[in-house]
Amino acid sequence: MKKTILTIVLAMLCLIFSLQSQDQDTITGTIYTQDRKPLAGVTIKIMDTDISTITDENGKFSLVSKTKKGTVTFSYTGYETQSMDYIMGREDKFKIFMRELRSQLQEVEINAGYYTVKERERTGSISRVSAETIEKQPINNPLQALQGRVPGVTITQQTGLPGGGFSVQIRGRNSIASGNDPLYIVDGVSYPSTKISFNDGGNILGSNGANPLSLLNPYDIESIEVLKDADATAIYGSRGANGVILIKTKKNKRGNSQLNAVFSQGAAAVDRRAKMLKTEQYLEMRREAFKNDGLTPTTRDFDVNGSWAADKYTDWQKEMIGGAASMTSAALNLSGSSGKISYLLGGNYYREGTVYPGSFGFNRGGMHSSLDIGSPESTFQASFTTNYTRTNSLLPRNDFTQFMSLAPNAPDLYDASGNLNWANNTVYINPMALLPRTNKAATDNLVANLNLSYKLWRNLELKGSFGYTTQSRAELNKIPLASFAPVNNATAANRTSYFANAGNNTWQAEPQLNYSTKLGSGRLEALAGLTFQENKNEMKALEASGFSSDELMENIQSAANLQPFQVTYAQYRYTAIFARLNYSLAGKYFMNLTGRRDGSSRFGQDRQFANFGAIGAAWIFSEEKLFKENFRFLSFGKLRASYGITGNDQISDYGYLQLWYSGNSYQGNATVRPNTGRVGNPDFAWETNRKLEAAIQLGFWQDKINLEVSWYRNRSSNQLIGDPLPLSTGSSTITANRPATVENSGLEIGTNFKLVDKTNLTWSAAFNMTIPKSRLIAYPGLESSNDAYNYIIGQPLSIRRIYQVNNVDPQTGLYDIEDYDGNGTLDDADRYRDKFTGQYFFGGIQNTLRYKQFSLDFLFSFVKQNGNNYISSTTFTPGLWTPDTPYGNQLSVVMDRWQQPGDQSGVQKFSTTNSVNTIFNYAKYDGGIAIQDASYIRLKNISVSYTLPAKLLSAIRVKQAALNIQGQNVLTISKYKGLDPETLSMYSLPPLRVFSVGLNLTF
Amino acid sequence: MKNIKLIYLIAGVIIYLQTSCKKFLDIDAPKNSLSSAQIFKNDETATSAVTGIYSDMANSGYASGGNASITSLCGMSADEFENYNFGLVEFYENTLHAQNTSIYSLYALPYTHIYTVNAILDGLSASKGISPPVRSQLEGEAHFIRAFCYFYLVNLFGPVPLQLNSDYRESRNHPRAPEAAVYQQIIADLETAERLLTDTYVSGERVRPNRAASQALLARTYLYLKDWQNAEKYASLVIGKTGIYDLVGLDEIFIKNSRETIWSIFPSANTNSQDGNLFILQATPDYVSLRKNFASTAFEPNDKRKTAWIGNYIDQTGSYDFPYKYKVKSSTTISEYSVVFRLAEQYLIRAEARAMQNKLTESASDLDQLRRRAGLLPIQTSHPDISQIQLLNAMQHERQTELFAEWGHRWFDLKRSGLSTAILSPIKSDWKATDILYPIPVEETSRNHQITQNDGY
Repeated sequence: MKKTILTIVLAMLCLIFSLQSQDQDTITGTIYTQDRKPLAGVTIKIMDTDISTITDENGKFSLVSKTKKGTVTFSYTGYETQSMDYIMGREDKFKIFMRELRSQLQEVEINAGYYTVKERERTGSISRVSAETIEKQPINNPLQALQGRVPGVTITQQTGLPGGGFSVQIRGRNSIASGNDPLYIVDGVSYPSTKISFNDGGNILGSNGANPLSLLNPYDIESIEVLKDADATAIYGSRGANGVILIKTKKNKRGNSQLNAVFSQGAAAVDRRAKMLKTEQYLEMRREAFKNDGLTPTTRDFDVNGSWAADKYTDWQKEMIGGAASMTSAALNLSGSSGKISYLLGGNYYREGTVYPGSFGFNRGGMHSSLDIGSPESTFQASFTTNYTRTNSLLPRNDFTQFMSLAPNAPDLYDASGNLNWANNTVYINPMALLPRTNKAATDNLVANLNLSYKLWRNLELKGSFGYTTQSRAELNKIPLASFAPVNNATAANRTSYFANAGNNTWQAEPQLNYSTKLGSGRLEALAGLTFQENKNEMKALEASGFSSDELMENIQSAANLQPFQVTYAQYRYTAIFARLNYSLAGKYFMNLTGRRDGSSRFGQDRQFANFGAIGAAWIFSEEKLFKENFRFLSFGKLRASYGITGNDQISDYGYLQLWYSGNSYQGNATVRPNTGRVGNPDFAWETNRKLEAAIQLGFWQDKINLEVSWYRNRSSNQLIGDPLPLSTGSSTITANRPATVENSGLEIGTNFKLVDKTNLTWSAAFNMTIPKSRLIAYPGLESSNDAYNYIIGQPLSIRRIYQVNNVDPQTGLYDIEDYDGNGTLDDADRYRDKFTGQYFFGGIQNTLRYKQFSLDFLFSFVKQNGNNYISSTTFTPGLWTPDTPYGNQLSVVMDRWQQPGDQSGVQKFSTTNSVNTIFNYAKYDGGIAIQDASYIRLKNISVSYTLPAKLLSAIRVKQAALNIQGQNVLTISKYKGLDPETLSMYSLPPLRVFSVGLNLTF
Repeated sequence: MKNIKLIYLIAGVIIYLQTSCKKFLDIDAPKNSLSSAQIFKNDETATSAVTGIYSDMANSGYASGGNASITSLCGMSADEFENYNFGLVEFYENTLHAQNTSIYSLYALPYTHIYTVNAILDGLSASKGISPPVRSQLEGEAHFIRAFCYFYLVNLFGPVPLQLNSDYRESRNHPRAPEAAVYQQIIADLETAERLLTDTYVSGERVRPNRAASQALLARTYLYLKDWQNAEKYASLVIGKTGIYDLVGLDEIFIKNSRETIWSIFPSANTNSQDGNLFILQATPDYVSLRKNFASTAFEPNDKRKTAWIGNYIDQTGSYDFPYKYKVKSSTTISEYSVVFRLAEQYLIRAEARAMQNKLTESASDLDQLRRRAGLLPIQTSHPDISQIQLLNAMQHERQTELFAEWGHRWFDLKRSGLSTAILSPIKSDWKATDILYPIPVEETSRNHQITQNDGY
């Protein structure tokens, strides 16, 4: 209040002075960001006058004042507004450092899809990662930028190969049998989440296949918002059950006119290795195995029968995945404006090699443009954004990681003269021979969006959003004759190529009306809109074989035999009407109603339309007198809650139809046969997810400490489950909505601290943690279903039902697996125990330090979880090796095995026999011995940057320059027994440790 | 005011758009498959739905002639074959379990075809685009296939659920129907098929059932039901079509479209019959050979069938006889189809039916048709005063030597004559009288609790 009076007094004084003064004087100055970069587009205004200007690209401004004294304000979106008094003559030049609004997080505009909302006023649960954070990470897929930073979101990288699969879950797994992917919206257009690659058995990109998000260039992204609760997601209706990820690409900030170039060069390598047996131990294991079995090595046991040298040692991890993958990233963005038009044009390039032998790689080149006409104040406004990338990748068909368990005394892969070494046909699998088995893919990706808005009336705005996105991928996988071992006696008929073409395209039109008005003593905001969307998804893969030479294998005409390998097609249409009503009162009370009526062609005839909706409310109690007066340390306090219903439409296409597929020909004529694996169900419909959330947001000491704690409980029911049918119905399953219910609840904690905040030194830290809990509440008929031995009522979906495996029997030296029902064989009924897999809690700790021109950022992510250890990826029981499956090496921990009667051990005796291997397999798959603690702490990201002094730069006409060193997955601390606690596999490449050096220049 | 009009206008537009939404959601059927409605739009696709069943039969399972076929499995269960395959041990030793995977397919696949037939009949009745001759042909074949499937189900498993509707909501709760009801349905379906079909083979080859095939199965059904008059009547109807059917030389019967063939199944692309592929030995057997003493004990001296239809393979592991009715093991030139019904069986049916009605001379004359072809002395010559019992014994023997390694005839003949235990228990140590019926697969009994298990399992 005091301040206001002062301002008024000052303003009045100014007015008086301005009346008195006749001369006109100029105020000039330069405005910088805190890290001393000039800031363009800042609005400078003399208080209580109409006089204003904006800074140019060098951050400079000049303003003509009519008064000798006064106050100027400096304002810029995302920055704290500053004001400063001036007296003409006393100070001729202003030098202002604008503080970013991180201190006023509450003011940030959050993208909620169909509308934006101020952080302070939001009623829903939305997390945001901005370009600034994304740019600090040397990554190839934007999803990596979210890892460890967003509470409630689990992102698992399935392979370290560029372009590979990710699994993303927001607040747990809601669906038992249908999709659990979030909905992705890129620049307002829905974007595919599922793989776009085809699968011929070579599974190099992980089970989730080529990830469509890898087709986006992380540098082009302005912000990623993750919508989690009902309040935020119900407006996405039947698509919102698994959460929504909104990706917004960069636009020109108004007034900016500059050229920005970034370049970085780095190298990636496998960070964590598994400790495998050395030759000496390996041979000890093998010999002991034969001794235990009372057998002697056969003529085929080349590793121990003298065929291979006993003193030879090769570290296969080093040979197979020990290389360094070079990576290069470059981007150029030109932005500018002219009158009411502003634009941004950009090009980018990314290249990454692999850590494998041979020359493989991933190349992505792209263009990004955005054009904006008009400003938020204009009657008419248009914005057009396009993103195009082309990705070429050449990868091996096999993941070389699996070869780490080759026998350590296996012969060199090349002989002295440089030819493949088959060592007198004792080598059945030579990884180097597999180098020509390649997977070559070219993918085009286009996302285009046009937004138009027109002010019909003062507070009534008509908007239209029209989008189109297409992905098309051509793939060629080949298995040349040269890749077969001589022992295979392969012939020309074995040469096989797979030619695949996949296409996915979506168009979307969304007219929308926005209206806002004063209502009572509060403010009402309303919107209503329609969605029309169509998606087509197609894949055609041909298997071609019988080529006359390896060189001709890319030419489909040279194949002797051609046959369709995989043909899929799905059309999907979707239409909806949606609305939002938001009422705010006194800047304290907020109420948000959202609703959507969806129609989807994926649902059965009578179930095509469905209603979804949510209610959200927030109360900023720190605005109440009681708190203002009594709890002055409390700068911000808000309670919010929401409840609503969303749907999951990630169900199979055409599930309501009885489909007929092509059968074998009869008398040379085509035939059809009904798909009896799945009966058509006319009542086929969405799964329902009811979401409840309550949260508290607090700020202490002028928001120096912020805390947000959210509790959620999502109950997903109406689950689409395959119900096995009696055989006499002629079909094996009917997939129907059943009242099975899955509950995901949890606690999300996010805090940030401003520890030091000086002009030369700032230090802030942030911490987030999620404690998820999941359980199956109901599953009628579980006992008689196909899931009878997968789930237990009251337990999480991620448990595994297992046998009781006691430790190794001291007498026999074998795993003692309990035959629970005593029927003499191990079957499902004996799996009466269960073990938890999955995450107990996870999160991240982020620090940002800035000292003068230096800044340092680092993020530790942590996960407490149970997962598969090395045992799940070992091919045989320790001691067994065969020439055709030569993956006999083991982790060195197996040396702790049972050796003689009376030994207590967790590793059963070494053996080469099939019967012992069978016991091992029982213990490994359904015995749960492979499930162990897989918790880890990872230095996920570190970034050091140095901003060159402006003085130095102005000489070479560079506005801004920064050098940086960045690292990703730098260090992993874990007791995990195996290769990597994230992929939990020794068959696929772990996420790589990346270091890069980069330069960021602005002209 | 202007404001409000505008809002009305916009609201109107929204309502209009929303009502047109329903239409917007009509999408094309997937291109890689067809919906039921599309299948029955025209003659061609509707026909391809029916022929899809035959191609499925040829591919694998009960009607394929391969190792999971009735020919193979029932031959194993009876006294026709030796077994070399672990998967078939339970059949060979008559120690079947309800979990056996071959039992699963033996039960499930005919029901899949019944489901398909029911869907076809539903589709045809709802369709207007099918021309009348094609409609009656397809409906006739559909009824025939349903009867054919039930015939084997009821003989293999006893009472089985009767599914005449493709709606799973009904069929999933049906209990087992008494054998009499199943037979009643078989006869009704076959009579419909007989009425709708003609004697013409519509596709030029003898690979789709015609009226004669329906009559042949009717004759066999009545024989199994011991309705001798009707069995004789329908066998006579078939035998009487001398313009189409004849007994042919022993080496010509299984050649495609032979004049003895009433219905055969066209083999899967680029193969000959799976029977030939399964039986003909060119290496040490890994599935099946003829029972060791079958050739030496089953045939009368000079029976030409012994030399014409039994092959022998010798290697260091031993000497193996094998059924050599089909001569082609594998070849891309297709010369043999898998025969389901042939004229010789009709003579045997009529002979038995006549003998049962004490028409001994006529019966012996039918039998002699086959004996003459086999180079044997006619009964009418050798035993002009043969008694009914003797004639029936001769008949049983004649069926064994004429129909061995075909469609489990031996197994069903033992079962219906009540001789299974007498003949099989001496050679099968685990034989129990209840083994004449196979167990109902566990996937059936556990998913529909109304379905009871057969005795002995």
